[in-house]
Amino acid sequence: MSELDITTLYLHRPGIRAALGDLEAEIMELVWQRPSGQGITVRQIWEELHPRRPLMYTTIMNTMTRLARKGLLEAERKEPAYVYRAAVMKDGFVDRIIGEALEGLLVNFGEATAEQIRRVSDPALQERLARLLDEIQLRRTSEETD
Amino acid sequence: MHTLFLLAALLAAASVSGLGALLLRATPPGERQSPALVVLAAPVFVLGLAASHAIPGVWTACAPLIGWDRAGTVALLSAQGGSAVAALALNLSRLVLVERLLRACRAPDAAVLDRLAAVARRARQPAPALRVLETGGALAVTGGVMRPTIVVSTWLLERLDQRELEAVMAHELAHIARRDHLVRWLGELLRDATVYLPGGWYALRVLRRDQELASDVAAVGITRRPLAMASSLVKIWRTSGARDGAPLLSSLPSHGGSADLFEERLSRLLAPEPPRCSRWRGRLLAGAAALSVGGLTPRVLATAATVTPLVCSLRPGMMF
Repeated sequence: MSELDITTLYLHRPGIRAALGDLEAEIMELVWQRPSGQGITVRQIWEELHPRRPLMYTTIMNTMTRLARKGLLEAERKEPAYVYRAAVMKDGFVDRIIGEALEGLLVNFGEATAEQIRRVSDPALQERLARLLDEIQLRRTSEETD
Repeated sequence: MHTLFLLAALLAAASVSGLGALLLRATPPGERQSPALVVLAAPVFVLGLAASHAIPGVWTACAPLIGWDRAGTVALLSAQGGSAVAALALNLSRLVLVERLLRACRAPDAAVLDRLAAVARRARQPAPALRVLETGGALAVTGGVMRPTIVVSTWLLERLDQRELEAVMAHELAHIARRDHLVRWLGELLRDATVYLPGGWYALRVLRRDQELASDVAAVGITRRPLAMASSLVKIWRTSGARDGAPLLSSLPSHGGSADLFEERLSRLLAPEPPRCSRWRGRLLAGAAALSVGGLTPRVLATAATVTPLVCSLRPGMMF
């Protein structure tokens, strides 16, 4: 698999749009819909997108070139045009997004990240402990005034 | 026949260990440290006394070791002696590693030291050394052979409020006053020497639990704030999860532990009446158990020597 370039994540955006722009995500969805290994040209993508997104042909071409540079698409020259294929399947791409995010968090905030993962992994216990802590803190006011 | 005798001794050690575990189950929590130590030491005593028959002069009129009997005896004694030597080596190296870890931790700020000194004054004991481990995990442990040292993590210093931190310090001071880290080291050594007996594993778990429970009681006696102690425990539980910590540090008394230990400590701290432990009742029980094992073992082994039939007999002076 080619090296994927994922440097920025927008966690408020849905799905793969956390790592890709809107148009990039739409193009990748179309590529992934094709049977595995079957290529697609810029024109085919442009034709499929045009009814709902009337964009210039060159915009699509530039975006697909960028996706190839990021390692998501592989370009093969077949006269008269380039044919693009997915360099990574959707599941693999999602794995990489999660991996990159976790690695960055663990490197920068190791224990705090592990703590959050534990909380997410046993939410019932964490909720119980949070309630218990609230209860104890309320009762502690009387302990402090004694 | 010597082999058969050693096997009978092994059976006796396993029985003593198992009966001891049952006795511990029937003893109220918080009072079981001394009995647990006796349960850990008893099988070592039984096996040691049985093995001593191989030393010339300790027992009398032994039959010669020949043939398969010789091979079996050497194999059994080697296995038992080997596990004892391995246990000693393992626990000595653990001691050295802990000392190194303590030295690697940084010194705390003056404010934290002042707080520890204040808690130690209230506990009427000298302030121990305090070191800080730079980690985001919740950690408070006590170690050090020559000089008792408390280690707290930066997480504790940053996330606990003043009262909670005092409660943690009082808990660790109680461990030091009770010499829990040394007792636990001895317990681990005895357990490792008889690693093949399940009773020893149970007794060590009981020893660890009761050290924590008893230190909670002592800490509440110092700070008079069981709720501050309880909230520090919940915060640590939320952060670290239920675990025994790093293998090296799990051999030290620490302010944490397994989920059911957290539950038990919290329920005692949050009970309307402050928790109590009677150390003397436990010591009395331990004394009675030690006397029974010490008195009965030579007789049981002497009987086993007659029944097997081992042509050995204990010198009269060896009988208690």
